[in-house]
Amino acid sequence: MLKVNERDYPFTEGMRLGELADRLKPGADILVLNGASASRDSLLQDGDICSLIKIGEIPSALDMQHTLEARHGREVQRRFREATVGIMGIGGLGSAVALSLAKIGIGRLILADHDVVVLSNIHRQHFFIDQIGIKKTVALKKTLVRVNPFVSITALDIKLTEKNIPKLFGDVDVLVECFDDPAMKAQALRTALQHLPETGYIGASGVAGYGDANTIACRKITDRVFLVGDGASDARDSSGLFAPRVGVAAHHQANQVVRLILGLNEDE
Amino acid sequence: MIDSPCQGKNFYGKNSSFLFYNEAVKPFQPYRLSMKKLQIVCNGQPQEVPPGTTLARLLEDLTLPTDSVVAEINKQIIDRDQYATLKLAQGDQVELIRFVGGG
Repeated sequence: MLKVNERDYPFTEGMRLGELADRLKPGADILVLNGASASRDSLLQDGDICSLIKIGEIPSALDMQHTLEARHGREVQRRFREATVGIMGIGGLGSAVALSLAKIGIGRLILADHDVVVLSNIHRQHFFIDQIGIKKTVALKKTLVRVNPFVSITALDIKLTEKNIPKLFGDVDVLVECFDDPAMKAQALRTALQHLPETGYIGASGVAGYGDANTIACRKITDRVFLVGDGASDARDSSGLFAPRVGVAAHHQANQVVRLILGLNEDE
Repeated sequence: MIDSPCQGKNFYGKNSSFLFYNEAVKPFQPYRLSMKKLQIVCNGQPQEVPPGTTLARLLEDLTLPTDSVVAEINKQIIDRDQYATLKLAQGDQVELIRFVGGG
């Protein structure tokens, strides 16, 4: 059996890569055999993994789904696909959380931020030089679509408050707090505890500097509420924010999103 | 000893036959009792606070910026606009989550 573009295909003796391409993807530009570029006349062997690529072609939703299922498992991927995740703030934490969740194929992302990309964001946030001056919601959505065109993305250019958070994120499975401002972090958690009793919630506090990354942990507050960070490293102190440590915290958050979606209890 | 503003003074002057204010005036007894400190538990640690201490005052004493704190008292989340007026009571279980900036 061969694996061709993530799907099984019967192997026959003497088959060459070019013939396979002509049959399955006529006009393919790039032929990849077991991870490396290969010529049309490469002889195939049983068990080979082939990718037949048309440059610039967007894969079908089904191809994308098969690929993710092959990596993550069918049941896990089904849960991802059916999940909705809200992300409040798409700076250093939020842009990384969003990218990670788009990559694994979370079905729907609701992003909210009212900032514009500025030069001082680029050192730790997933934006590009050519996006300076663009709204973060618009810029990040463009990036996410390039990563996974089949994620439904709602990008809200809005300032979040205690009043609008329950309305905007009332139907998400998990809400991720990625604000920079500690008062907004506190406000958001208070709102979630009071008004979103069924929603998973992952906040962050203490992500600054370049201290030991192992001090960044995901702590359980209640069965559905978690806080990521070291609880102490403040961005206002001299050390400031650094992409590596903020990234550690962001991916702790994204991993906890996965765990909540999969229904994993921290006590197990 | 009590923390009365009159403590140690003869309220009616040096040669008055009245006893000291704080010993003589029985109706002040409840006031005196109320000055006893309240025992609360804050993030699992037993703590004493003066009666009448508000949540805002507690945060101030702990040098926590009020805006960056989520407070729960006896499993009830407290609205931010109640911090200045909510007075702590004997036996209150206070849970505080303090946020620092950065994201």
